[in-house]
Amino acid sequence: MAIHLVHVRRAPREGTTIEPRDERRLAELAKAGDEDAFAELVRGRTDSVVAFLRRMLGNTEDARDVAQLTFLRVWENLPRYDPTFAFSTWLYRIAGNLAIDALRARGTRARTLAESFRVVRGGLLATEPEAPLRLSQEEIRRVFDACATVLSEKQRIVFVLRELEEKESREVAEIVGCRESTVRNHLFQARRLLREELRRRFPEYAPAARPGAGEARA
Amino acid sequence: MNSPVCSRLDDLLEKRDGDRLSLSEERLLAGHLASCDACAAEALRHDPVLLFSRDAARSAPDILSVEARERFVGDVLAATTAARAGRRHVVSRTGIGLRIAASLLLAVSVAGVWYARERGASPPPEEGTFPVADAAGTSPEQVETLPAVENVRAAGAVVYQFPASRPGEPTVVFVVDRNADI
Repeated sequence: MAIHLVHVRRAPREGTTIEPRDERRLAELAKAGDEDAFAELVRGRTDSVVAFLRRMLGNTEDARDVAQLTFLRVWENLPRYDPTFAFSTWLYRIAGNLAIDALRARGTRARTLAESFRVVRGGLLATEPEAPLRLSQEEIRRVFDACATVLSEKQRIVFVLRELEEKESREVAEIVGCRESTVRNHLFQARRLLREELRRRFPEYAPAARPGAGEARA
Repeated sequence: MNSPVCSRLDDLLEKRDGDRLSLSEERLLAGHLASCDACAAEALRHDPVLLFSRDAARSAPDILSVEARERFVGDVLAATTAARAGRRHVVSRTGIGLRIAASLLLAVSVAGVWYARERGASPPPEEGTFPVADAAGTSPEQVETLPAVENVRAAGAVVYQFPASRPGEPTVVFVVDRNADI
């Protein structure tokens, strides 16, 4: 069985074209009570925040709800926004904290859903075991959601920000509120746990590893 | 493997394991894995977690349509407006409460001043005399209509009588009866 990584080049998203400098300016205007500026900020960041929360929560509906709450928190806390920091860093910090709250609130339910997915998916795959498997984004996402239940909230947010949102370790550290070395540690642990979970639950997606591959320590 | 990057794959993957890739190297690796199937397969053998990484996990369904985004923005703005209105409401309720409290305080103060002035207007009781009262427990106004002092016949009762010093003043009478059943 051959497995292909399906790489899709990131298409420019509508509504996410605001430059960081402009975001700071808009945030300053919004802080001063400019509702149009705030609407512009929300419009510009909706896609990225919903996508991030979708990866954190594994559910689009929950992601939208928490995204809405995130922007409401942003609006409430605008007077405390420090423009020396990037607006996106501040935004992701709020979104991340709310996502962690949501994960904690519904921890058991997420695990149950993930387990049930394993059963359904196994049944579907069994029908065509030798066919070359080109994974759809939807399936990759579902596999990730299933495997990510083994991660702690911190490990998950670090992995999502670093690996899926492609943020640098320095920015991840600012968002999560820890040191870069801690980010690296969380990232290493998250990768290890995901690797193990992938091999345990979805061996067909985890080809035989080369000795020592992927095990290097930060 | 025919690109210069192919020959660097092991090095790049090893750096990635230690989170030591520079931003440009990260982009180089991601771009290369997107275009070279052989290296993508090799990378997946190196670390299956790469399955989730980079553009492989990009999920187009997350991108909202223009209408959905506008609806979302509208919902957020409505929520902020509601929150703002709620805060104003709280502020105005607080304001009303403060006004009521201030009015009550003022009223109590005025009443206190009035009461103090009323008390201050009465002549201070002389030594040996007390506010008017009577043995039967009647009010001061009723003292005038009391029966004559000589009608008090209780054994052991002592009658103190303070006649008016000028016209219009009442005559004050005290009856001290140690055996009275009050």
